[in-house]
Amino acid sequence: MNRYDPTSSFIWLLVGLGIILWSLMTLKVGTFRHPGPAFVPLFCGIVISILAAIVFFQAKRNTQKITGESIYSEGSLVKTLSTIGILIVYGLMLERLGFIVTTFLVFLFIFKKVSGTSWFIGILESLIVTGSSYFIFGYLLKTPMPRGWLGF
Amino acid sequence: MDFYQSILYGFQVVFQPENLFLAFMGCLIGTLIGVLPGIGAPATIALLLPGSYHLPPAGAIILLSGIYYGAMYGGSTTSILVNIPGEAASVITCLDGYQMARQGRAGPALAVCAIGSFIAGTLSVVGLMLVGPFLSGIALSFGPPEYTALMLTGFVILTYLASSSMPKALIMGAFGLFLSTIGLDNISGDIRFAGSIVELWDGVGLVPIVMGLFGVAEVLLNLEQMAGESAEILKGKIKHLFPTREDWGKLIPASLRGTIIGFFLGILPGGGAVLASFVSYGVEKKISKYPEKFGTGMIEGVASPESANNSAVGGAFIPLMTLGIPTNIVMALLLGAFMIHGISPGPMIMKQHPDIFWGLIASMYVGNIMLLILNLPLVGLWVQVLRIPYRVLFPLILLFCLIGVYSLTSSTIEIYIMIIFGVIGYLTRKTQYDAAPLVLAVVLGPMFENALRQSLMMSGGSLEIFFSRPISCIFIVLSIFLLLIPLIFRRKLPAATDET
Repeated sequence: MNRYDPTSSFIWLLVGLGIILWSLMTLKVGTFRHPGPAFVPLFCGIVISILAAIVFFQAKRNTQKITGESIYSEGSLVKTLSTIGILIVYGLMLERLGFIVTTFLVFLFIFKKVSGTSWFIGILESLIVTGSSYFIFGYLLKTPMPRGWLGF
Repeated sequence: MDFYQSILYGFQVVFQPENLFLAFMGCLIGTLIGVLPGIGAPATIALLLPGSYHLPPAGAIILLSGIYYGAMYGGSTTSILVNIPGEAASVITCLDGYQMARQGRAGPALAVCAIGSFIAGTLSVVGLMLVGPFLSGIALSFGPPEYTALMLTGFVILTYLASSSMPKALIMGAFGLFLSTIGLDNISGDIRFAGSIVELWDGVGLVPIVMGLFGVAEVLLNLEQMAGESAEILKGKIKHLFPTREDWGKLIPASLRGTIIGFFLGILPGGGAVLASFVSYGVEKKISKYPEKFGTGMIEGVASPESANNSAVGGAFIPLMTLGIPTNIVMALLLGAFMIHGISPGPMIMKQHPDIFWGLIASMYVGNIMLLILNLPLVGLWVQVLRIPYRVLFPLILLFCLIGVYSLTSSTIEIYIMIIFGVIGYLTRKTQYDAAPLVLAVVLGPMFENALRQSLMMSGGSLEIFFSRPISCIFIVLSIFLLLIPLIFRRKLPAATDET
């Protein structure tokens, strides 16, 4: 049994119940003869709720064998949260500042703060990453890259 | 066109300079990402999917499938030299491959992988060539009930084989099925669970889900262990690549057994390369006169799983090309590539697009020879690639994921979806929920839902339709049987799990 089984299964139970309510409140379930748009989603919600309840009660009954790593291991939470934060910031800045500026700034931050390199190496690596990725994706593969307010 | 004309036509397609170049690039990129731990074939194919739109359809499929079987080759290099599998399908190769390397036999171990993979890859293409047209004929008789039952079996097999518990795998599968219902309902025309987010009216894209679950989540998990980032690579020159006569004697039969097992497990929905490599290793151990020596550097323990994971690739193409059903994540992405070019794989593909079907088959023959050349003489180069530190690698993986998802629709919504699934992937990995059933359900979900609702409407709401037609009945009975096995053997299973 994983140490987080009671918590995770409880969250899945809420997800399942949420899907059931959302399906019933917004769409038609229909009948077996004429299944409606909520037919399959409702079925999914019921299956998730039942199975989550099974995992929850199994976990409550069987507390001796605990396996799995802790989510809160030393230093890991900071790195995980900062990486997620960086990705969100990238999404927020991309269309405002454009691909080149956003990629350079965000990757300078990653190299400096998460990888722990010096300023000089960080700037150099960010320039190489930004330039080569723009060349490969923007120029060779013709991937559309946002230009942003600055126009590049 | 008869059979020989068809295959000759396939070679004509692949020997066009552009297609030959794309096959080579696919093999090269595949080997590279196979060697590098932390980025796999699904994330790479997802990344190149939007770019493949600019290529001709046959070229795009040749490139993307080259990445898949190339990754199977490359994945074994890290298993042998570093004891870290580059691909999930090479996990089992670590057991004997790394031990061989420690005994100074890294050269023969790498050669056995490459030769075994070549034999299996080539034979599985022969299988695909022979079985494909035959199955296409049968597939023409499939109606909605047969498709529903087949896909249900696929879900059940995958959850049955999941490394986590079966209820957890079923939860993930059901959640994936729910995700697949988001957006426009094809039958009623209603918009489901998308609210005012216009980007979701077409549904949640597969690429951001795969990138999040397998790209971002992998990076988040690997960052936790970055303190010990530089993996210990075996020092010294890799010499004596060519296996000895005794090695050949063990290699060929083991490779043939692995090929057969891998090919048939590759065909099964939910099966694939990972399962094939584990099953073939188990079979080798079982039939060996010296089972106790497995894990100490047995050549059969390397040859058989490596052959199995490569031949599973050929097998996995069969359901996609004949039934239009992807059996694993990579096949689902290839289905996406077909869709981008307006092509629906299925029983008619051989008649409507022979250049793609036979071109793909011929490219796999050519690709296997390319991979042999890339993997044996150039093994030193791949060892150097392994020395790239993770602190340099992970930002690149993240950037590739970001560019890949943004380029789909030029919308930042895709980036946020990827981040959400990155977090979900990270948390579900920590809490031991498998991501594979979720992805398969997202892929098969729309087809499954349509087929299920059509079947029910055909039968006037009666479930009997699934039991009254022989093919669907067989699949339904198989699914029920697989679901009941854990309940019947509930008391025995924990003991078996403890042993592993």
